Amino acid sequence: MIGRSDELPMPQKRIAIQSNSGGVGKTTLAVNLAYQLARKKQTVALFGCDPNGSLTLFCGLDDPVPDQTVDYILRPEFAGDYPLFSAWGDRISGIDACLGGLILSETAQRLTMTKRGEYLLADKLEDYPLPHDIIIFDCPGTIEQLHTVTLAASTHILITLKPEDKDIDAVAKLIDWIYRTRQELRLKPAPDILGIVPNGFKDRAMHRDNLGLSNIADIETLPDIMRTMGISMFPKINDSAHIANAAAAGLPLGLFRPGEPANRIYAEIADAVIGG
Amino acid sequence: MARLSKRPMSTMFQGAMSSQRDDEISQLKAELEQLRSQPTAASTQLPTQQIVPLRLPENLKQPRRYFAPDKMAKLKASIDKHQGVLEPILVRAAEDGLYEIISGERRWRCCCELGIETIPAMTVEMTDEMALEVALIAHLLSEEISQIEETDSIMGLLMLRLKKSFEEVKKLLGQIKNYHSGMIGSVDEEEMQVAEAILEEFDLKVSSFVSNRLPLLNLAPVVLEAVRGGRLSPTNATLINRQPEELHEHLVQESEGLTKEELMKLLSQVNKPLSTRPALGEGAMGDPETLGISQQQDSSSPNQNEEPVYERVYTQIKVLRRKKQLFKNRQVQSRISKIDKLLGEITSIAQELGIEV
Repeated sequence: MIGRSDELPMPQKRIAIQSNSGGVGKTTLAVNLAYQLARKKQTVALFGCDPNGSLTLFCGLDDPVPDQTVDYILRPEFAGDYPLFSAWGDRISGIDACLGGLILSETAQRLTMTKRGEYLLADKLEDYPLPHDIIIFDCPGTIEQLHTVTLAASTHILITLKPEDKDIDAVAKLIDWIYRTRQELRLKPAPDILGIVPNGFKDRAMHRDNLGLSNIADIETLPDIMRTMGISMFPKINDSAHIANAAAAGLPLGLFRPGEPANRIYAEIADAVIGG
Repeated sequence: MARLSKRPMSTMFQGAMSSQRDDEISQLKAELEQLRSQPTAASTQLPTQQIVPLRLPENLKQPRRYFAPDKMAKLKASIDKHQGVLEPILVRAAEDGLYEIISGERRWRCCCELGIETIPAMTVEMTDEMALEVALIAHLLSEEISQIEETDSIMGLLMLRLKKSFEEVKKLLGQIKNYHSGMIGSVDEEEMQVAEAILEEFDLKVSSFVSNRLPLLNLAPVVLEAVRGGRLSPTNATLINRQPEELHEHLVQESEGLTKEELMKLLSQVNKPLSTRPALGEGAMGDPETLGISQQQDSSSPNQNEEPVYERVYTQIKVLRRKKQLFKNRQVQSRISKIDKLLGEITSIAQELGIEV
């Protein structure tokens, strides 16, 4: 809001992709955003912060041993040797992944006992800076300790949801949580909500109504409410079998089916990340 | 909200919206502080002639500003010495080509008076509401601010945030204070949260704001002037303000440098014939209007009335004592505990005066 000086050419952006319900496209957004950013000559480190380890599958990698996950970074003995794996290295350069996995459910418990536990990831990234232009944190499906840890380490937040009432209600609670937590943690600068990505849109009444595509007067729409709150909305991503197929094949949609319209939206989000 | 939805979407987002508002203030504070720490960043020299104070529509009223002559003179001397302003002022561009000051009016006024042609300024884009909010917060962050100005600005901020008039905000704060002291009455939870969050940002609690700060805005002119001039502490000001107006000038002079306790002693001597007044005054704190009336009655009443008042209190309590049913009522209970508190205060005054009770 108030202009800041830009002393550095471009400081590292750290994007936390969050939601408050499962299966709404966080990991899909993470890998496709990473791919589009790499196409725009940005180097990207993907962090799988979800115990379900879905990032591993989406990157076409094998499940790592516990010592080779994000958990290791959050251990006292970590000294900057990030366990990074190249993602789609044969097809595009500049994307590395630090994977999650079941061990992270123990990490979350351990963090509550650790001093400055909430700031642990932020501290490690400050002590041992990564050379990447952009870091993307793929967060778990519901608010938990790892959300707090990634919030404290991020510069921006992207939120995904399906345009269903239950998801929207959950996102409202997530936004509430974000504002409260970033204030509680006294984050300076505090991470901004870069925008909301409606995902898995199907052409049916509830989705249309919620996204304001029905032309019915007097119904409240998500875009209206986000406008009053000053939060951006990205274009909706339509439900498509190809997105799931690309994930199953361990590829970003841009490599799996370059002609899919959703790729343009991911590219638009990438622009917002670079400019944000 | 979909056509069949039971829960309106605005209800879903109520909590998020209120947290966003709370958070915004602390963010603005942080940004303004950052701005201070790196003054040369992104500022340009603007002609002083092209700058005007912030212009806002009627419904967004800026609190009064005082430009204490001695402080202005100091600032002017410092600007003169440095041949200009060092810390940039914050402005927004208006449609008529002028720049409106969001923060830094004192510095700008000094430049005008010194005939300095340009001033470093940061230009930002801001809506009327945001500009007022930033103006208030910037004002609150300045070290030069007096308690009265701070109280004024905080009230302004509360009015803006709660979309209420001055009187409505005052009423709400009273309700919150009562709510916390366990008294009967209701208060809008969400409004309470907003108000408390704002006060908390400036390390203030509702109860002390109501009893120590709000009365500052109702001070008699002589007393107010003394507080603004830094000759009288706000606490002592409220004590003096309760005295008959004709005594104000004298008391202000007498009380310079006195502690609250010393002043209370002084007042009890001045008021010998009306010694019940300070105790009554305490009870009516935060409601200076009522107080003014009771004072007038008191001061016009002859001295021999002194005894009958406490006799009447005693008799009334004796009568009420028998109505056991009455004391089960919460409203009555809270008032009784007030009386208890007041009696405690009378006892401590007695002790201060060396009268054994």
